[in-house]
Amino acid sequence: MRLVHAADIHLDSPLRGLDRYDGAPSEDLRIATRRAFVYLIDYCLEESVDGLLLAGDIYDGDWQDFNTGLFFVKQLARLRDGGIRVWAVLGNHDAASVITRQLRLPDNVTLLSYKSPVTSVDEQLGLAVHGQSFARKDVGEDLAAAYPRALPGLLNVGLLHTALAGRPDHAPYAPTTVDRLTSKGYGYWALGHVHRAEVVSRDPWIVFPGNLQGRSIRETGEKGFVVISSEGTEVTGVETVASDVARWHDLSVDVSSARNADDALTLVLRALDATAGASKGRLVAARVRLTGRGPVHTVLVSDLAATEANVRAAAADASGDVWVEKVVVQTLPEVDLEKVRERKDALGHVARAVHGAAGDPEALKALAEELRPLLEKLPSGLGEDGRLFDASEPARLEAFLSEVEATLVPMLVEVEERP
Amino acid sequence: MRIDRLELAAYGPFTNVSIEFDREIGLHVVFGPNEAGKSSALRAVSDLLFGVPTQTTDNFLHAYDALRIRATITARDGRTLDFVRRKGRSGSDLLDASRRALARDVLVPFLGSAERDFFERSFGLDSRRLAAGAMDLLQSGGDVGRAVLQATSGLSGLSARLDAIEAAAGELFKERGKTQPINAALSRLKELEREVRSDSLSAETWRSLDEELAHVRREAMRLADRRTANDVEQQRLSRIRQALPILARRTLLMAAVERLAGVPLLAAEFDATAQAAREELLSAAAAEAGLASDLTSLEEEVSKYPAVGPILLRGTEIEALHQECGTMREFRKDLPKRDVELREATAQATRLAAEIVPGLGLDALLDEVPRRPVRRALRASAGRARGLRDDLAREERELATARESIRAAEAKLASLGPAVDPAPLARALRDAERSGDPVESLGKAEQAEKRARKALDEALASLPGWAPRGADPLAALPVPGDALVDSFQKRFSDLETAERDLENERRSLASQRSGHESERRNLAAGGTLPTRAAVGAARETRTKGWTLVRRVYVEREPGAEDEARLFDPERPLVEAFERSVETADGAADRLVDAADVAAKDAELSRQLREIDEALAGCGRRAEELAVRRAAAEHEWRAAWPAEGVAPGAPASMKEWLRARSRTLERLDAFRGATAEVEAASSALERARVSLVSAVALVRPEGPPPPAAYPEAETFVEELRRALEKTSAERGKLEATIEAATGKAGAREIAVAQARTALEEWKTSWAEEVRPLRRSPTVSTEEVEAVLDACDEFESVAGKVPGLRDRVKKMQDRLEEFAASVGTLCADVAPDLQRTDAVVAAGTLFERLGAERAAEGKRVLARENLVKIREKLAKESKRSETARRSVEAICREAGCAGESGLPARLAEIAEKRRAVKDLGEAESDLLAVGAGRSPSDLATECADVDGDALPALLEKARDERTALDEEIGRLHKREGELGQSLEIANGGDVAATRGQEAASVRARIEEDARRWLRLRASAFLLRRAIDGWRKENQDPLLVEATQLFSSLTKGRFVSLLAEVDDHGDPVITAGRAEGRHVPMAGLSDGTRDQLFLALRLASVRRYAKDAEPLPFIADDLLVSFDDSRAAAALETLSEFGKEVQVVLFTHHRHIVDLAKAHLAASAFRVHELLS
Repeated sequence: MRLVHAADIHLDSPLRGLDRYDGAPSEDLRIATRRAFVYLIDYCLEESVDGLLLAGDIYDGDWQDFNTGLFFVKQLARLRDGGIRVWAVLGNHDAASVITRQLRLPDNVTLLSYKSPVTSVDEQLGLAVHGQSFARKDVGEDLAAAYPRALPGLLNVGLLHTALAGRPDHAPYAPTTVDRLTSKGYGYWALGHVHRAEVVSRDPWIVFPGNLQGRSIRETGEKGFVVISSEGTEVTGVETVASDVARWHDLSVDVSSARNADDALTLVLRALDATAGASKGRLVAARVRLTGRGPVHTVLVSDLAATEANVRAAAADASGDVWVEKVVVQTLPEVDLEKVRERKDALGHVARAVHGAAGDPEALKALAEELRPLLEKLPSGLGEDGRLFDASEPARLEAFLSEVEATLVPMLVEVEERP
Repeated sequence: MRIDRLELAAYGPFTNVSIEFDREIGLHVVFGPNEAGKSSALRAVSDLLFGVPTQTTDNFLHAYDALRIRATITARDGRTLDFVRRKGRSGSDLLDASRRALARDVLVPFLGSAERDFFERSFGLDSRRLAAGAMDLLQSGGDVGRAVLQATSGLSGLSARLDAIEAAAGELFKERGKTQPINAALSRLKELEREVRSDSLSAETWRSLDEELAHVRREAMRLADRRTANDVEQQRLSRIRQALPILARRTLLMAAVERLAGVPLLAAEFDATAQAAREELLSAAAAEAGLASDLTSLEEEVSKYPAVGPILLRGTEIEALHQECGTMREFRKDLPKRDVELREATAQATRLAAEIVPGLGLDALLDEVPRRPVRRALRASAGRARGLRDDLAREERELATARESIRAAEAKLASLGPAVDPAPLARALRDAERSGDPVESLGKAEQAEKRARKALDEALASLPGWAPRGADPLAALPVPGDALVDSFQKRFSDLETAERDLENERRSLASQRSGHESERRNLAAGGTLPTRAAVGAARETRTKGWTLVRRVYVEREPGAEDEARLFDPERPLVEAFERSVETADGAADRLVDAADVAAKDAELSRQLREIDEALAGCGRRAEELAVRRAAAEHEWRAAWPAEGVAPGAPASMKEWLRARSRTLERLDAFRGATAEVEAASSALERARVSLVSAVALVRPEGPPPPAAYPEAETFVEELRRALEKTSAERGKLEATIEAATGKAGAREIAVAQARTALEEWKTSWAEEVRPLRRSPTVSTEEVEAVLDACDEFESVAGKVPGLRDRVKKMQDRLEEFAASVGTLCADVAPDLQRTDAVVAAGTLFERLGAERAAEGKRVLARENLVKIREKLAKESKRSETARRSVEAICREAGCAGESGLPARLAEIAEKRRAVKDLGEAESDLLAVGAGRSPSDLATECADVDGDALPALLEKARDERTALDEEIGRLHKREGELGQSLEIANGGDVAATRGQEAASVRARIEEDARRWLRLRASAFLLRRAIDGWRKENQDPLLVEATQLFSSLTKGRFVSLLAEVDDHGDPVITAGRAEGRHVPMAGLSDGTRDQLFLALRLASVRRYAKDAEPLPFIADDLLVSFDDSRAAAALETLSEFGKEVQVVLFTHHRHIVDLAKAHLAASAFRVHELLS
């Protein structure tokens, strides 16, 4: 028997952070999550697998277009026509979605109840699927605790949307432990919720397949689903299959050896070429992070718009389609900021004043007022964690001011009038 | 910190140049005319304190590792340090006086935290930066922040940078902007979010569409049912309308059928059957009567034929004899021929028998003649004897041939003489071939030697005047090395450059001088100049007038009015005072105008003096250069050998040295080529000797090879070929003899065997010829003749018995035939008894034929009779059958006899038509009745009013049309809803908008991040500059006021920070008389003085809190006029008591000014001489 295990499809969730700049690849991003899902369905049909397990988060919670649900139904209907059964549980996003409540699923789909754990047995396949959907977005209790013991003579699969005992960047919904899961005697735990693929255990198999398509720079690397092979009641093999149509990379390029901007761009292009090659023809969505301490720092930071445009132009020359999500200049100046601050002259004073602003409540208040006109117009949810600029958190403010200092002070040193 | 002593031990153009900076002296003027190394000395101060840069340009005289600057410095706390700075890595470039390394931080107590940039910017000032600072003061309107920043830090770019940052932020976003990228993107995002909402299909919308669609479908189905019922009713009414006339016709037909109830209902075919039966009956009766008449006639004819005769009875015998007639005729023709043939054969056989065995008769010999196998054996034996005799003759011939071959070969071998081995010759030739052609090698070596000699001669010829001396002395000649030549070349080149520069400078100075003199003459033509004393007198008068005014009108001092009258006897005091004010101001104004001309003249005069000094300096330096050139030329000549070479310029001598090297290389090549020629000669001789030895070994007594090499080699080669040919021929002859001897042996044996075989045959032959009754030695030819006779006898005698038998048999058959014919004729035709048997047999046969023809006719008549009788019986039977058929038809039609049949058939046809029409009427009813029986239909129509039917039908049709319309409307709505749901069937329009919105958000995020950084940068920078201003403004202005007053000689007495029209703090300068002047109101020179005052104030403030560094001024005063320069020198010498001041200058008049205006103890001049 062969089963496919996928999770966290987040249909119609946009790829975030990709500004459609001049010279960006012509790739159509809009339905990347759909294309990844269609790939999954195509795979099931072409390989004639015996069943598909969906471990939650089919939709994005706040997405309201019912067309998304209808698209989902159409795809599952293809599996029905191909004689392939589907078992699914709802995740936190699905529980919050208005689509879930109204949608009628094809009859090959077994959507496991949110009221209590359910066991669905397919005698023909020799398979028992146990699972429970999320009743609401924030399920805080251990759902797995109430799952039944394994049924004898069948391959037992647990379908669960959970963060286990906690995973970075993921809400701790339906918390549980590996011991708890092991104690049920199942052959395979098909988990969802965590977007990074992870084989948590091999005996029994406890697997997060990750999401089908990375949607932002927080979801880098290969994305796809898992194919489970079994003989009788035993899982004999687990392999991953990539389904992503665009692949995210957080690319750090050390430009400390660059003497000028051209050198730096050559290094960037080299790194982009390597990444494009490793992505096997997929669109690469790359964050280009320029690092290292060197003479090129001042050139890069003194006109960040030009630096960004140059990096994007370099990406257009790369050997594959590369979409530069963002250019982050994290280079360090050759000048020692500490020493600049020790100087007795005006520059030292300026450097000290810039550096000291972080600890000056009055300055920070004035700074907040300075930045207010834009901040109060910006839409919410900008920034990777939804907080683009938050003066209320000292660590963030400090990081922001450090960044400003590292950009500003070397630039001032550069423009000094030399005798 | 101050520098007590600076020693430029090896730096730039300096070697062991030292300057002592006396502590008591406030101002040190370091005077270095052009080319004296003033700039290098300036750099040396920075390099001394902060290290020599990796890429210094001050190594043109001293190598990098030889660079040294030494100094003694004293900190404010009194500690001193004597140290040396050399070029090297930080930490190893400081040495003490004993050349021991000093710690890296040894200078910290003297320098504090100052670094090179800071030192050069804050403690160094030159005229260019002074002018730039003053200009910035003007352009910023005296912006305090900028002025303070500039003056205190030397940073001119900070403000510009701040402006650029703010501009960049403004390009990205403005609070009330629309077109800036962020503003525009925010608007676009809102639009997209609206579109996402409008393009999204809500679950409720979908559900309501879905539900409405279900409702519409249900309603459409209900109306469709009603429409079906309407259709049914319409069909019923139509049916009834159609059925009513058919039902009436049916009733009439049913009555007709009833009336013909007694008549059987027979099929239409019955009529034809009845008619056919009647016709058959008539036909059969007529045929029967005809046949009976024919029978009677034929019976009469048969009775007339006669009975059978004797010839017909013995027909078989007659036919047999007739058949034998042909054979009998043949026998009668053949018999005489066969008789003659028998007699001839008997005679020939008898003759042959006498030849084979004389005396034995024909028949006896037939038994005794030798049979064919015996004859074949005898013939074979005779053939074998011929073969044996042929074999013997052939072998004997071949034996003789072999013996002749041996004899001839032995004779030829004897003529070849003894054998000789050519191998030594072959070996010698092979060796020679392996070592190549020695003659060619020698030739090539000699050619190479010739070429080398020529090249050497050419090279020698290229060295002027050297050729006669030859190459060897050239090799031995001591010449200077390349490095030395290079150093002289550089030295001469430097000298030339210096001489050229000096000449250029001199010409430039002369030109400047001429220009200045011309300008001065023009100034002198402008008239006399007002004096300062006249202005002072006018001002005193004005002051006196003011004092009197106060005393008379304010203080009302008694007696003052008298003095007032004395002040101007001709005018009242007030008028006189006003006049004095006008006079003083007018004089001052004229003085100001005149002062400019005076200043210009003074400046030109000063510059002329400087130019003269510079020209004198040029003269001195020209002399120095001449001395240096003479020394260099002397040393250059000394570097070359006294004889043989006359040294020219270093460049040409470098070329001479290169030519010498080339010549020496060619000398080496020539020597090598000579050695090659000698080696090739030896090789040739060795090869020749080797060939001679080989010939002597092979043929000691023969003539030796020729002395020349190639001929010797040809000789040996030919000799080798001749010897090899003889050797090969000898081998061939020996092989021939051996083969012929073997062959002769074999032939001798074969001859003996052939003879034995012939003897053995003779013995067996004697036995074989015995049956022929011949001698045992009879020849094979004779035996073969007898055998041929036997063959012929056997052929002829064999025919005789057969011929005898055949003649006999023919005679017997002829006799037998004649007897049979005779007997038959006697029985049946006595008239033929004497006729030839064969003729009689033919006649009998003809008579038999005639009788047989008559018998045939009789038999045919009898057969016809039988056939007619059979036909008659058949027709009688047919007639009976037809009669029975007619009777049966009458019974079926229900009539008594054949005569009533036609009337009955008419009734049957009528009934059949009525029944058929009734059936059709019912069929019509069935067609109209849609499955109903005619009786049901009749029942359905029984009570219907036919006249009301059209109205009822019309009503039903109207109702149907209304239903159609309503159903159409519902279907349309169903289509619309289906389309809506189809459009909403998983499309990605909203998702696309969502992605676009995400892209715009990304753009906003990126731009916002950038704006925030820019804005924060601008904010922090503005705030820092403002802080610096606040911190420094007041103390700096206080300090600067005193310095400014000193620099302006009291013309200005205060500096204030005031707020301008825009609310920004700006600097104003207060004149001695109290008026405050904004920046724009100050002259250029005064702004220069103000900037210098601010800078010195900044240095002074720094010195209050930290270890001061020397203030290094680089030709700071070149743009000052003499009076301002003098004031500046005074101020600097005073300032130098707090902070060491070193003023570097190119200009002699600055030195002169110092000498003219300062006390000797206030300054010291140090002249630089590299």
